[in-house]
Amino acid sequence: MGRTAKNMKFSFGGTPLFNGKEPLKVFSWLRKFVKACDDNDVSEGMGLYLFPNFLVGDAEARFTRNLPGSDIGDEQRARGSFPEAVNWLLSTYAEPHALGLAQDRFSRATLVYNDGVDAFATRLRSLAELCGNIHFEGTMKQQLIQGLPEYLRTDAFV
Amino acid sequence: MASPPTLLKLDATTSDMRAGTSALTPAGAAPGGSANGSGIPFTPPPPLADLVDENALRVPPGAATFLPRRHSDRTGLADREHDPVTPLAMADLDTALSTFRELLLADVSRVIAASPAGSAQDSPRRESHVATRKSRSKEKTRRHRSLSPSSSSTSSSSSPTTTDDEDDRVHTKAGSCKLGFLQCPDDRFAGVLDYRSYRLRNRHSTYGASQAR
Repeated sequence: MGRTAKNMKFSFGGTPLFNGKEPLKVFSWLRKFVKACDDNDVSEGMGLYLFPNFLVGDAEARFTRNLPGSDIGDEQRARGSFPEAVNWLLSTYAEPHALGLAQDRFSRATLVYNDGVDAFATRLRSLAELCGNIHFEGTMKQQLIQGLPEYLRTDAFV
Repeated sequence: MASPPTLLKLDATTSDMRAGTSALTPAGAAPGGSANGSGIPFTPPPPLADLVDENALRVPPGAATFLPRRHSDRTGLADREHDPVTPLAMADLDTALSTFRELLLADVSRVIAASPAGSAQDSPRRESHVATRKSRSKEKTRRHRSLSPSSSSTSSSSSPTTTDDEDDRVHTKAGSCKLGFLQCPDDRFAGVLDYRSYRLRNRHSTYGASQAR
């Protein structure tokens, strides 16, 4: 691993590498990757080849298979440039059906009886992250209040 | 036991009849007469040959060109045999069909032109290539000419959205066609599914694998 990749890993922090098992994590992972690239002044031409350092498992194998210069390539060469690589990642892992389900889970989330409000808020955040963080802070708060039980909700409004 | 007189009469009639004619329609019955002398007025139907002639007369003269014809009739020989005065050839059919097609096309084009969607969407598309090329060339010349600091700051901005020129440059360098947007039924996801919201600040695409490793 080169110095740039190491520096980027440092910028990446504790964010786990993307393995494709939780496909909708691709949004937050991509944002982190873009931020790490920008922080280290990595160009798109270079960033294209840094993707595999932040991918693991099946996602890494599938991505590396069709990088320019790779000998094996069963899919159409969709990763010839940085935007194409991003588009491929989105089209592969961000399925519209899964997005709809995540949105549904977010809007129906409620506080479980043995759960604390903080834990519920954390769960809501992770659900919103799966939706690509499309929700505003106000929507998040509103959803948090709606998910609270009746007696707690009254207190929240007061 | 003697058979009734009517049955006897019927037998006599059938024995005189030619093959293929009905027993209920005596050939010798006069128009307006009564059937078998029963007193019920009876009008005999016209012969089959006359019916065919009537049908031929009922078809308007011009409509014969629109009717589908058998393969054997395509040469017009059959028509020549029946009606030597007005022969129908393949050219007639072609003329009739082409007229029909032109009429249909005229109707369709008139409807499309009258609809607001057609007039609003189709016409700009046809001119879009020329218009975009013209505007792009104008923009480029404007950029080259103007040396003001505002233009330079605009070009070096690090917003996630990109201009068409930058996109074109990327696609030209990558040697690929334009990327398609991902479609999602929920419009709220349109922004996160757009690859352009994940562009890097440094958009140089010249670095290769050796620098990255």
